[in-house]
Amino acid sequence: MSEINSPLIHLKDISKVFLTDEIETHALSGINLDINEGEFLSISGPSGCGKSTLLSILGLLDSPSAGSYSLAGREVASLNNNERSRIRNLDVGFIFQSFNLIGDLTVYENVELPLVYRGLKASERKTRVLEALEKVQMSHRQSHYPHQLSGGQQQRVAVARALGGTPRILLADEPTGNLDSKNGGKVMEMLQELNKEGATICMVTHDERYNDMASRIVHLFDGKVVDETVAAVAQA
Amino acid sequence: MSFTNDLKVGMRQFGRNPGSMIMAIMAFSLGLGLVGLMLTLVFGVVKGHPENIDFDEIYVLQWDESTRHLWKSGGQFGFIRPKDFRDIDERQEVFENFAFMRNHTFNVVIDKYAERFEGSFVSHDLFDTLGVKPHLGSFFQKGDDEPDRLKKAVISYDIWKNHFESRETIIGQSFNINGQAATIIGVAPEGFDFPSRNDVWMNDTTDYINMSRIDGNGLFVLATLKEGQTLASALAPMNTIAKSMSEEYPETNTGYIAFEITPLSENFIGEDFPRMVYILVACSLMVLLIACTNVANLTLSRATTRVKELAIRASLGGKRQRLVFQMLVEGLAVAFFGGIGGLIIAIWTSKMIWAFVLSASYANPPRWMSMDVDLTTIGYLALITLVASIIASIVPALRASRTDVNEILKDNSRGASSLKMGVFSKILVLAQLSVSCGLLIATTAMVNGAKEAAVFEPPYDPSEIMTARFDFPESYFPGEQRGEAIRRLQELMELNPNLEGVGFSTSVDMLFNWDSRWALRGREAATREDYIQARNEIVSDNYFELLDIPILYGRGFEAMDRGENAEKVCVINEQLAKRLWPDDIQDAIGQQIRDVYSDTIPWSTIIGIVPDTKMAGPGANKTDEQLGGVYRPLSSANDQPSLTVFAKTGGNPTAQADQIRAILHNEDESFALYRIKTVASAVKESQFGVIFFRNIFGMFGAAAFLLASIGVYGVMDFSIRQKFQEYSIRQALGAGRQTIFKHVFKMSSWQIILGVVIGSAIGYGILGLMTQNQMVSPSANPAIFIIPILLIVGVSIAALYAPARYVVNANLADTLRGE
Repeated sequence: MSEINSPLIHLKDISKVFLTDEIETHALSGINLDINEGEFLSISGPSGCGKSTLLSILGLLDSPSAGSYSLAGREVASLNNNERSRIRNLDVGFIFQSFNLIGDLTVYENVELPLVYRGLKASERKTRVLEALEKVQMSHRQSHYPHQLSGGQQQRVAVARALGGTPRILLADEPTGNLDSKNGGKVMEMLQELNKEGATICMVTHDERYNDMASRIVHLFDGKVVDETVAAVAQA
Repeated sequence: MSFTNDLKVGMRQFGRNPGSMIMAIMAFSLGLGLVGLMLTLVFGVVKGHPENIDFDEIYVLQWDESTRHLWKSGGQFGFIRPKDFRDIDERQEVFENFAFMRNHTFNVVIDKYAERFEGSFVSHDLFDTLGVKPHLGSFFQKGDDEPDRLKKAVISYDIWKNHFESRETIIGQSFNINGQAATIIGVAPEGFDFPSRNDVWMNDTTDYINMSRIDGNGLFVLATLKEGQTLASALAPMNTIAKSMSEEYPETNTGYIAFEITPLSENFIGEDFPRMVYILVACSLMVLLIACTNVANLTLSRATTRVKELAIRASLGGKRQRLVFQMLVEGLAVAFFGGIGGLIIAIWTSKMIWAFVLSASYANPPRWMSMDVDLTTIGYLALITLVASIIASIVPALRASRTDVNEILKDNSRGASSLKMGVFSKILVLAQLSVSCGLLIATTAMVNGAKEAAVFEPPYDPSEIMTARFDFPESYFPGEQRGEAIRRLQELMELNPNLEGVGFSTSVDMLFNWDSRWALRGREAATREDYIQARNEIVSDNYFELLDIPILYGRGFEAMDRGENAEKVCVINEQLAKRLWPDDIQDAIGQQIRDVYSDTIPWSTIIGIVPDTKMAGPGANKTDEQLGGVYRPLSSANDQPSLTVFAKTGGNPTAQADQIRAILHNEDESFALYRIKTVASAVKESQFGVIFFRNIFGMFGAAAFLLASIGVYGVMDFSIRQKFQEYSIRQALGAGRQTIFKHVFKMSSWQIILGVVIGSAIGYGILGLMTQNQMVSPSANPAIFIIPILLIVGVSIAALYAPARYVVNANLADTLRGE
């Protein structure tokens, strides 16, 4: 349970070192970052600056080599696998560049999957899945398989899957990277809308156009936070 | 040219993937090796025949067994009796040569001691019928088989070489053979031992003219067709002869109305052995199928890493069939080395198995038989190798060459995931699980069956009892003269201070007894076949005492039962007593029974009952064992051509045998003692057939299990890795390790269950085919299904665990980014 006025995510001196052929690569060094509830944060920077690594650590897909990571007031950097799975399921929603839908499952089943892992009843799952699909305007495609959808539609399903579990934070890794500008724009509009409705979003993107949709932009370079900008939209 | 290039590329694959290639070659070697082994059995034994005899042109004539129910007199398994042979020979016009032979053993006195050889009495034209020319001297002439003619003998090349130092002067010399003088007239060509392991062939001078129609042993009749005749055209006139004889001699020939004429090539080896061999051939092909699926999986794994290479080739103008051909050539290169490995395995295993066959006295194969890897075997193996290489490569090649070139070339990250092999992988797993499960069931059944068959628990220690056999020379006529000799030998052996407890029996190796039909006085039956069937053994009066067989009721045989004029008595075992007197077996005492197969055997009074003994021998089926049996005293043995002598060994069977041989030699120099062994070793040897097939099935089962274990692991690993991305997504969405493990096992459980079900059906089918066979009786114990199923399930779970563990330990962030 987060305390009043305390950030949803608090990173302190987070670093990540990869060891390849006995060569240490510092992907992240001394990252200090807070993300508040309801915030739309964009992480930007050149390729290889550590954006995706940071997002993976935020999503508990990876562990930091050092530092402290608190999510909703709970230290999560050194949890075991099962606890991490549980937090991912309850508190984090993922949107990936390559959608990462499961090809053998229908749209409905894909969106339902995290709710199944949460152990919800079928009736409750159904309500949530249909709500989420409605939100991304994909209800009419619930029986389709991913390969029967366009890239933009697949990404909307991925958003619905992330939303279905009502997570504390949505993590989006280059959500428009595999989409054309029209579909990319639609997805971004959708994220912005969700943020307006109260969702906390942390997004990694290359695309300067979409940075401006965030309320705050964190610039990374060589694994370090080099700048933070409060976006115009937020100031307004 | 392109083939050479493709081959070069294929060979380069060896360098790039040595581990994968070596695995593929080993799998092929094992599968092809076992197929090669079976080919040696097919071409060397089942289809084989001596070089100098045309097995397809020589026919075997027997009474048609399908009319057996009509036969009035007892048939000797369809063999034609001597009197009938003479009649048929005089009447038939379709055969050029019409000859017979009947097996016999010959004691040939060489340097004052008799050597026993297998051989046959033959008609004068047997060698002409077989189309064989003598190596030295001559064969028999017309008239040599008349009753008043001199005894003549043809000896084998082996005897001539090993016992007579290849002396040409042997021709014309006279030797004591079976107690009578016989002249050696010829030496058979090298390797000739027809029909099997024969070393002596003598003219048959039996006076068949004055013999009754029912008497005389059944003859093995061989014939060659006259020019222009065919098997079909010969059958009708021959059956007409049978029918007319049936009408002319109703007392003996009623029901004998048709002949069965089969080529020697079919008749020689019988039906059971080839059936069993063809079951084994099918099993070896199943093992090869598992090997092919292993190789297919390895090819598939390589194909996934080569999708990009193939896409580049396609973008440069390579047609799909060209790409498929290239992968087939690569597969052929692997199969070539696998074929060589298989050939080595086939040579090695066939030598090993043939050495085992030759060491077993019960096998006794003809000398021309072998399990050599000859050119025919190599040719077929090469063809099978080619087919196997295509089977193993074609599907991966077709699938790998069908990918979307554009998609692959524009997306660097898609290499491994672009090849969708889900259904094919599942089929591979299913095929491996079911085939190996089926073979394991057959193997377990054979191993259990062999174990059950070897169960022989007599009241005595079989390793302490020596058994040996001797034949009466021709000069010891059946009847009083032979009975006198038996009594004399018995007394001499009993009086010999160096012999401790010697007895006699008609049982072969103290294990096997013949069947008889028995009449019970007061209970008449309509036909001979309706009389009660039971085993028949003639034993000396000290038999039960020496072998620690207790007398349950009444008494055993005593000295007073020895005399020719003593009251005819018998002892029965408990099994038979229960069949005939189920209310109270003691009622048997005092009842009279008689062997109905011979009118000369008088009624015998039952004087005692002994416990159940395995009179049908170890490994007999339950029905056979339940028949029970009758023991008659040695005074009934005066018509027996051979007897078994047994003795308590005191740890040294040879010493006892020497004493017995000396006594026999003193009686007559033409006596020879043979089949000298302990009962324990006889039991072991008698299991030759079961052990032979058990060993081969054992090899198949072990190979199938090994290949399937590796293969199932490989396929499961490949299948799970194909779903690597999916499992990572599931974990990202909150699935814990246990959930992933559960999902992996659940996903594959239907394959395991279905594999086990199909495998059980395959196993059941193989068992069904095997039980039709008289040669082996696989065990019917439920464990033969349970053990293989547990093994297969265990291996499958182990095969799933390792890749599942790999999946849950993977770096999620990298996987989800497609790195």
